[in-house]
Amino acid sequence: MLTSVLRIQILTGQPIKVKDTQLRVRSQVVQLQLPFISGGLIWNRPIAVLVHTADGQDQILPIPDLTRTAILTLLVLSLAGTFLLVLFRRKLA
Amino acid sequence: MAELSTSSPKSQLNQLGDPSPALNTMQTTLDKFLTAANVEAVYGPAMSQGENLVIPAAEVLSVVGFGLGLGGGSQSSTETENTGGGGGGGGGGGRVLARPVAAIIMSPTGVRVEPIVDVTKIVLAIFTTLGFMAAMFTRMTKPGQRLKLND
Repeated sequence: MLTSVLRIQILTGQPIKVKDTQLRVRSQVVQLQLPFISGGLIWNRPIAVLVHTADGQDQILPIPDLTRTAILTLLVLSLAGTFLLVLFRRKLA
Repeated sequence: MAELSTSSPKSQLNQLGDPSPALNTMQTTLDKFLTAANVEAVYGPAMSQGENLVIPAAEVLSVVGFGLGLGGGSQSSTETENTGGGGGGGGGGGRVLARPVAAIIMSPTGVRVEPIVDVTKIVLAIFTTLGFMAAMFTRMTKPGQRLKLND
C-alpha cells in the first residue's frame, strides 16, 4: 500500500558522448499519489553525473544543492537558537 | 408529495449524462502529469559555448489535483413518467515549480559541476529566521511572560 502511495526512484539518462568522454546524468524522483484523491505530486531533483573517460576511469560527480543546504542550515540554527533561549530563560527563572 | 422514481440507478445515471468524457480527460491529464517523472524534466539540452558544453540542471516540483461530482434528482407524477434532472461538474488544478540547481560544464580540462545559488531565497530565509527569533525573544522578555516562568 505504502509503495503505491510513495515511490522513490533513481533514474539515469541516456549517455551524452563528447569526444572521448561519456556523461550520464542521474536524477531522483519522488512520486506521491494519495489514495482516493485524483492527482499527486512529483518531485524531480538532480543528484549526480557519471563521467566515463577514454582511459576507462569512472567518476561520480555529486550535484550539490547549495540553496537548499543554506535554507536547512538556517532552519536548524533558528530552532536551536530558540531552544537555547528557552533553556537559558528557564535557568534564570 | 411527489413519489420517488422507481427507475433503476443505472437508468438514473444515464439521465445524468455519461461521465466517461470527463473521466477520460482526467486520465489523460494524469498520464501526461506522470510523464514528468523523467530525467529530461531535470536536465536541459546540452548547449555548446566555445569549447565548453553546458548542461543545466534544475529541481522540478509538479503538483496536480482533480475532483469530479455527479448528482441528480427525480420527480414524477406517475410511476411511468420521470421528469427528474441531474448534472455534474468537475475541476482541477496544478502547479509546476522549477528552480535551477547547478550547471554541468564539460571543458577540455575535464567535467565540473558549478552550483547555482539563489541569493534572493537565502536572504529571504535569513530575514524570516531573524524575525522569528526576534519575535520569540520579545515574547519571552515580556514582564507577564517572566511572571509565568517564575511560577
